Amino acid sequence: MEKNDRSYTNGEITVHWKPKECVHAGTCFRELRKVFDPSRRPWIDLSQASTEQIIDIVERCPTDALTYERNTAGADAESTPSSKPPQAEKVHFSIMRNGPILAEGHFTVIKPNGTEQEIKSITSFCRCGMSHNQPFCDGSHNKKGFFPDNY
Amino acid sequence: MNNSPDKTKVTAIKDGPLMVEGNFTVKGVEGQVLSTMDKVFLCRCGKSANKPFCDGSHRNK
Repeated sequence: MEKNDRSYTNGEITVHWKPKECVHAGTCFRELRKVFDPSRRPWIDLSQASTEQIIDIVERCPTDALTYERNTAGADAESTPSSKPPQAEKVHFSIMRNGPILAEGHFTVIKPNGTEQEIKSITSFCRCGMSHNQPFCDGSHNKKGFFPDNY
Repeated sequence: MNNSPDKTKVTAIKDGPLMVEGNFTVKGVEGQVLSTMDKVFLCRCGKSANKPFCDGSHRNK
């Protein structure tokens, strides 16, 4: 477990948050802001929605940044966290609303300085120009404002 | 340069767009397919009027 990993429970399920896995796709806070609010501390409040609503969002997180397990009484052996299916061969680029380009698959990235980096499953590319980790997204669009897709 | 056409390659051009080459799709915010071409240029400055594609706006300050 990484230092900044967190777990939250509502009694029925436990949601695990691994910030290092996050690629800032933004599905969680866009679709269920009352539970996943990046401006609040703690940013996850499971009391704000039903268990089924929360599971739906966690399953749509494209990485293992958000996973969950059901809290079954005294059955720890069964409660392995959910994990995401493996990625397909073809590379999929998805434009996230007011956010980055999500890239899923196995591909090579060549950075502006010429160095190569192999991506094996998923990453996200900056689309706003403000990331300090170019060409990847670092979430800067959330702090500085980037709303090209509000129509 | 085009040594393995099927392996997707993403090149972040210095002070320019993302050049994507290979076997890939690009989908928009509603999940609609925007491109099935084997080479596209995606905006990474936030200024293009043709997002998510580059229109050269990064050159204009």
